[in-house]
Amino acid sequence: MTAVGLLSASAVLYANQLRRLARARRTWVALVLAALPVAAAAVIVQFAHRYEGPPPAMSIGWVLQVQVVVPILALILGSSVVSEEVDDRTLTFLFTRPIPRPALLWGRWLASATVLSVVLAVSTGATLWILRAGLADHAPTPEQLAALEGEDTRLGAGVAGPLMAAVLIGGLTYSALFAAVGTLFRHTMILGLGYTFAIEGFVANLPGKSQTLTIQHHLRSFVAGYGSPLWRELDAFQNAVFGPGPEALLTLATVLAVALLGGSWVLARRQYVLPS
Amino acid sequence: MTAVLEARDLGRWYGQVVGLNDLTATIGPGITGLLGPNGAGKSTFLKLIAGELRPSSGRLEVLGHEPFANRELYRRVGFAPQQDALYDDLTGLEFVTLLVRLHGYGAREARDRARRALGRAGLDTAMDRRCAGYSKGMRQRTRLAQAIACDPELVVADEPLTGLDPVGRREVLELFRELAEGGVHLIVSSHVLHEVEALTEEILLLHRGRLLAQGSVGEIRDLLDHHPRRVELEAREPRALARALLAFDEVAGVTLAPGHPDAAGGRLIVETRDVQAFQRHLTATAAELRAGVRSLESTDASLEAVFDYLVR
Repeated sequence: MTAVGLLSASAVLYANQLRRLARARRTWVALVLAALPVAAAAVIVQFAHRYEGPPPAMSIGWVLQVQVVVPILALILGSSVVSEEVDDRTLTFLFTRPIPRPALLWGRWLASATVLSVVLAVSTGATLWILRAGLADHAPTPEQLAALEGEDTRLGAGVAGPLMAAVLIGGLTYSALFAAVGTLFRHTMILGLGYTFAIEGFVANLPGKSQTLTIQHHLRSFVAGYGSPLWRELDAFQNAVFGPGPEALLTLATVLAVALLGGSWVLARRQYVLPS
Repeated sequence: MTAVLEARDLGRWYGQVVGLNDLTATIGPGITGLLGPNGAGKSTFLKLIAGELRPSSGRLEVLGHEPFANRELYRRVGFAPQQDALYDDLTGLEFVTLLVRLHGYGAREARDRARRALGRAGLDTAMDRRCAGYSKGMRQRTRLAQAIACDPELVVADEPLTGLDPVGRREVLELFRELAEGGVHLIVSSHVLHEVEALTEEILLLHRGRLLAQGSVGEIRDLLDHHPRRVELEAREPRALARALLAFDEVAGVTLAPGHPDAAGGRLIVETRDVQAFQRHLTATAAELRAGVRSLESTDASLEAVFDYLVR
């Protein structure tokens, strides 16, 4: 029996972590949070009037889903990837096996990312479906939209797809970032909450270039670049500076890759002193 | 004799705190006991052996390899850590199976190995229950099971008898002996001398991060026999008893101290080089003098005190 490779060790840890997450309390908390946009959509369709400009799916999808639910769910599921093993002092068992240490990050992060993606996709899909079905009669006509934008903009086109993609890409990027932070620091949840509200919540909405340092900025640029021009009309984007869509996508992919590779590098070298 | 472990000037610090200091030792095949009071550096030494920590100074070779982050060595060493940590949401069988799978075994083979190891550790009937419901002793046995499940050449167990009842201790000691008879080397730590004594003749004594002594239990005992023990007793006639006791060769000194406020008489603190001879003489003398001895207590029989003596 030789030492176990990265892929096979990651696969074993992935399968195990997926099973554990299915019954973990943090998954149930994530499900409750993910239900918030769905509930908000259900309430809105009850009191909807005819609207002009960007459809409510954009506002709810962005403000509630991308700005709040995505980072917090990613924090709940991503921060525990490594730090849970350190806090629970079970890391010893994994670190004294003949496996490459980064397998711990890859296997467990992939499991968290799978659960996160499924939960976010279902939540976003349900939110969009409720809004589409409930507000069909209240939507502006294509002529109204064309007048607003000065071009032919079909309602629905460039909204659901980019929003779903932004939610999933955002979830993966945030969770990889929080997982990587967990390789360096304890109390990742507190750090992550601070980052989510102070940097992603505040700096991302400041006028000027500082917002380009946030993931929110790149997600905004992504939906504005690949989606309907109506995205730029959102109130939530009032102070936004937009970059090109492909560049935003590349930046987000780079952040994700750097987080995972950096976390792997730390895990492979760092000593974790666990109290007996 | 091929050394299982060789440490040269091995040191490990936690910031300003010394965990292990300039330890030089060679451990041979079979069972070796690592003995020392809490805080002696036993766990640090074992974590270095198991490759969980990297030495701050010096050199350590286990089965011919430097242990830290050494996957080849992890395949040959089983480590049962001291910390009471398991995946509480998994059953004992699921937990051990997962760890065995990380040695490269397929699902079925891993499950069989986990089942056998848990059975050997005495968890036949409990392995399908969640670890969260395990007693302290069962958790200890689960940690041992995962350490032996992949047939390691060396088992490193940190305080493996803690939390076990007397029957459990006997069973685990028996398991260790079986493993040793099968050619497995064991390094077992404890802060209780008789536990280690029941297992092996070869011991290393650690204290405050330093190696005090290495050798057979007999050699260490000889060393300890020169240690004057302190015995405290309460008597109705402490002065008369003190005068009489000073006449015996094994009594190195007697100190009078105030007794319990509610009791007549006083307290004597006796330093003796031979506790058994002292107790024989005390019985006879106390009866002869009608000294009214109410209590008798050895106050420094603990290992900590013995180590304090050895480092003076």
